[in-house]
Amino acid sequence: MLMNLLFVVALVLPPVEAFNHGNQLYAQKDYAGAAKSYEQALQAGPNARVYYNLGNAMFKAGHVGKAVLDYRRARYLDPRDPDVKANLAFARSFRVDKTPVLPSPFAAMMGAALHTLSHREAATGAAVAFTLGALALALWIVRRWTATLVAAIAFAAVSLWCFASQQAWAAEVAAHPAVVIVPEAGAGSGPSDDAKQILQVHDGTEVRIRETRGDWLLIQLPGGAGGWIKKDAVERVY
Amino acid sequence: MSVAGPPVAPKAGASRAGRGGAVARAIACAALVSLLGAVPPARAAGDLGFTASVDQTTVGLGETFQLQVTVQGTQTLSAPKPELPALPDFNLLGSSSSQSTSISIINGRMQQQVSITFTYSLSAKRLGQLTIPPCRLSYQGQDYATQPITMTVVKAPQGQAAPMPQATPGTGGQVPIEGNLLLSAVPDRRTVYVGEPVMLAVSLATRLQVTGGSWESMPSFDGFWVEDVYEADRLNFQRQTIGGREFAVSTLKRVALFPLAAGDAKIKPLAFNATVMQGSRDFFGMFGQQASARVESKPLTIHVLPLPETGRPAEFTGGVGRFTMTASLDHTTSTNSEPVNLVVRIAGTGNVKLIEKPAIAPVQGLRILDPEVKDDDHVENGVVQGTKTLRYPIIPQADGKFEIPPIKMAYFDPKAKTYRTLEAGPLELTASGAVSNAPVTEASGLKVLGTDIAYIKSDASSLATTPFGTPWWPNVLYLASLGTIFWALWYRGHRERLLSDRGYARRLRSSGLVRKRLREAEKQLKSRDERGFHAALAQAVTGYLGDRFDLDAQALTREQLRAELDRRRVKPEVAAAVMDVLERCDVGRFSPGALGDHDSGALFQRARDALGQV
Repeated sequence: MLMNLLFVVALVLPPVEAFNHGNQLYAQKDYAGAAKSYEQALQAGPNARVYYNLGNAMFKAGHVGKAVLDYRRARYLDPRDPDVKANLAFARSFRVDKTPVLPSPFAAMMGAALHTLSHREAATGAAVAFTLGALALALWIVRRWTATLVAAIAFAAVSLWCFASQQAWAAEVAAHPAVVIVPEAGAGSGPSDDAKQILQVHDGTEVRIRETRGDWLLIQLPGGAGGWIKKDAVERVY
Repeated sequence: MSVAGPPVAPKAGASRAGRGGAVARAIACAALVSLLGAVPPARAAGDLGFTASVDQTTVGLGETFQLQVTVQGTQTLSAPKPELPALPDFNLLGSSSSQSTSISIINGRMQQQVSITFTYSLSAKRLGQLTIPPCRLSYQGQDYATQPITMTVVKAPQGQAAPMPQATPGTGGQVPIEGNLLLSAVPDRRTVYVGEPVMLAVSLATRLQVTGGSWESMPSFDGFWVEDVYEADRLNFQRQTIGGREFAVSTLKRVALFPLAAGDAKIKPLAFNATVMQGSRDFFGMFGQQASARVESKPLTIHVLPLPETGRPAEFTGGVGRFTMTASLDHTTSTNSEPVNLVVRIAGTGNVKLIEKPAIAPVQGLRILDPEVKDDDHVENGVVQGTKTLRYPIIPQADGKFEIPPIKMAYFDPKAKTYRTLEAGPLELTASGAVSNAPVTEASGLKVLGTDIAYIKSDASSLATTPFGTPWWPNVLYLASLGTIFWALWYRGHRERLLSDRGYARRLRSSGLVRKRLREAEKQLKSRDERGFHAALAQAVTGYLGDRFDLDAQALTREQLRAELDRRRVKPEVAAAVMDVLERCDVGRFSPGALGDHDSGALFQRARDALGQV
């Protein structure tokens, strides 16, 4: 019975052992080994800190695409970590393909502001603030206390902001982002090996998956260019 | 390169019958046609002018002079070619023709004046007084003749060439190509320093009639940086004496060669394919045959000296020659980090293009970017001259007054065989409103050596997993919140109606009150108080009806109550039951004992059911 319980606990909690072992290997510059250890730690479930360390190990092992992938996952879970942001930007600067289209400064600022909360925080915050706002509003309806109206408006604003943030994350997830994880891959005009090659992408390029057909994915770059690529060449972020 | 087109200049001596003759012939034919067809002969004949002249009457032996024969007329496009007399005392070296037309309108009539000039290059064969006999022209049955010209032939001055060989028209000999067609590549010097230019002149010397030609392959000069100075687009022959023989020489190419490395640099032979006219004895080249002749220059060796190691300043950037340097700023102030250009201009003679940019010492608070370089060079008096303009954009990163230290550049002077150092500046720059994104760490003595990713996190205390996606319970919260708001709205409305609507309030109160009264009646029933029970039951029923329908039920008679119940659409059987209960209550109240125990319990039940149905 006790053994059983311990087993369940070990499965549910991230294996601290694997994490610490990974850190040790990383310090010894065995980056591939560290990455393996972190991946083991992640089997219990996602964790921003482990993803961050895994990203570091991947970057040091020369896998820019995998590093970008793991940093993005870490950012999804903990978007306010400055180390994650810095390393993601750093890893991105090592990519072969440069983003053809940069977002406008306003859009970038809005994006950054909307990604201050994590998806989960935003969803939770929106619901809680909505509930509190609804209670305050109900109280105002019944009792007509001015303070409750003010509180209701304030909670509504907070809820709206959290909701916008949640929608921003939802849109990002719905775009099916993926990262190229092979050094170089060609994208064809159709989902077959003999299709005309129309695009070449390199390690670390971030794309979105628009369609899946068997072993082939239709990817699209931020600029709009796209093509069919082998499933193994990219990995989904979420 | 292809040299083609009318190649023979008026003085070109080697040409015996060039295309000039062919052109004259064509013009003559055209003139003949036009004269036969359109022009009134008498008039044209009367207006024809025919003259001959020489550019100098006293010439040296073998020296070239020009004989010009001009035919002038109105309306006529041209005139037939004049007949050159036999010239036993002269060599005919070449000919050309030119035509000029002038149009004037006099009294409303257009007049056209055409003159054709045939130019013959001649040289005298012997000393003394020689006569050029009259040239003749037969036109429209009329004969024209020019005046004879007397020439004085004196001894040629020192250095002048011997007379041309007898390979002239009339002798009929074929000139061999060997020895009469030369390609020479002549450097202006054979020992230079690395970076010091060698001017190489490539010229074609010929005693044949050369009408064109082309390079066998593009001349290449390995080990040199090549600056093209001159590239002939046509052959332009000048007379020149080589080895005691007179040649027509045309420069084909002139290049400046900058040796890139020390040692013996070899210049490979250059090969040129010339088109040569052979076998003509006809003045107008009627029977000329074209042949291609290959000619090659001799290989050359340039001895390239290394630049001396001793005394080489650190600021040396590869310049060899003589230079000056100036430096200036296009603005001396900068606001809001606006870039300012530092313009360094290096001018002089030498390998301007090969000079590398001079190093500019870093200035704290200024970001000096790589310069934009513009080269501009040309050859003047056989010397390569030029200007190199370097434009360094400077972006101030802090406010204040900055001094750009003197810019130094050293070059090697091959004439003096020493290095010389140039200096320009210092320059001053004032910046305000600069964007202070300069790394502060550098100012405090720290040095940013590079960037790397931030290190891994080691804190294992908070490794709780956070699943991707969002939890489910917020949706429940949303629903519950909406429910709360709707409840609040209903409650608010209910409270307001309670205050404003008496019937509503009574109706809501009725079920509570009737329960209380029925309980009272039940108590009476249990305590066997027959009278009290019936009174309480009757009150409960009338009270309920009163509250339910907002009536003063106590004050109504049974008939009125019955009518009200009908009016409120109470079911007739229910109304009947209610009325029956009231009837029995009245009986029980006023004549107890008339009803049995059993009846009381049943009546209570009936009253309850009836009220429940109302």
